Amino acid sequence: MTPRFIDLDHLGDPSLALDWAESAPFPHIILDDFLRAGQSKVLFDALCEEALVDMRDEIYECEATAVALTHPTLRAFHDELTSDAVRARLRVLTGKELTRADCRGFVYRPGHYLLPHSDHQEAVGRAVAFALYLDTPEAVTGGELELFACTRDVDANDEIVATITASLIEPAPSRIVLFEVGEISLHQIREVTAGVRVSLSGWFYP
Amino acid sequence: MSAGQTNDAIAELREAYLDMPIPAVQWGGVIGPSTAADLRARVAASGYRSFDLAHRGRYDVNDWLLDRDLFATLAALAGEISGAKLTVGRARFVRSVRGSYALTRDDQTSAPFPAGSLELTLDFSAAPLESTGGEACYRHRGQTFFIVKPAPLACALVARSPTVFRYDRYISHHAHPSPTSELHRLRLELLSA
Repeated sequence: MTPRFIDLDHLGDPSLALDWAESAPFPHIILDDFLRAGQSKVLFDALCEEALVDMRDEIYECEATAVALTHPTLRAFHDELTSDAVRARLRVLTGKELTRADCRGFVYRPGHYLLPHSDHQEAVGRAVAFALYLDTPEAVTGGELELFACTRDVDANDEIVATITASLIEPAPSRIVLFEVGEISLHQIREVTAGVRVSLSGWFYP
Repeated sequence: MSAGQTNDAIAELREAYLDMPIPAVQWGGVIGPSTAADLRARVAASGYRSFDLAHRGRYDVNDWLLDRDLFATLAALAGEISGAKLTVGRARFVRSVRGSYALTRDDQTSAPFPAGSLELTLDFSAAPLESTGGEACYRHRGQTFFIVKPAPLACALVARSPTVFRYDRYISHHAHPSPTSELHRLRLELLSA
């Protein structure tokens, strides 16, 4: 069956596995045109009909959907994202056997941010994080995904003693970013200073 | 400072402080604008070093300036409010601007506060912060129990222990790039004598 949302040919490019493995500061990939033409707008429109709640805590301020998406279009996308066809391509790309994924909508308006963190929680088991950016009516300023390179001190209990920006990824519509979750997959979403940043994001699990 | 607080005011502060499940209080008018300006000038003359570790925080700090008279006066005031006899431990002057933050991991990684200790914060900023953020949020077992809002000339006293942690909320871009968008705080660790 032809996928409705995801361009499988693009995701199945065999050279992506090498890009993933050789990327720094930790395995990741940036894939443009992840969605079929027009589907970014379709997903954005669906997200506009989904209830959002304000989220504010130590490291973030943003708006988000519930953990379980309810709009039929968004649920259909989630199903496609975790389909056998997509997971098979992700296995080739990441070398990981992935069985399921969380998927949630996030909206960042001016003043919203997500401070540096790794996503890693041993008991939770997140393996690969993803963020798919959607079309928005207003172009966004800020809101870049920033990946940090960490230097650890083996003589100080592996404590991180230096962090520098290694990659800065613009939230371009229909672009997906995937990265390996680990103890040093330190990243943040820079503060949005104008416009709106909209994404579908979550994690794949073994 | 202490002289500016009447016995009634101290009694009210003590009541408010002890009324919290984990003792904490914030109150204004501890110092005057000229005292704050003088303190800012002295710390600026002494200098700041930039602290920037993404997973912990981003701010400017001076932890070498010793203003013994000020520290002693603040410790005496904290002692009157808490009813404890206190000595001064670590002292840090912290300057925060747009983009500044400090996570609980920063607090955890610093030397932990022993049981029975207190943290006093003196806000010696020139003006209210023209932005969102900057609050100091105190947590115990994952729950925020007290928030110290940026408030020039105000002081806060919070009981600390190895299970109480603080984070400073990110200061957003809404802060104007002027001296009044700077948040100046003295953080004083007070130990049971």
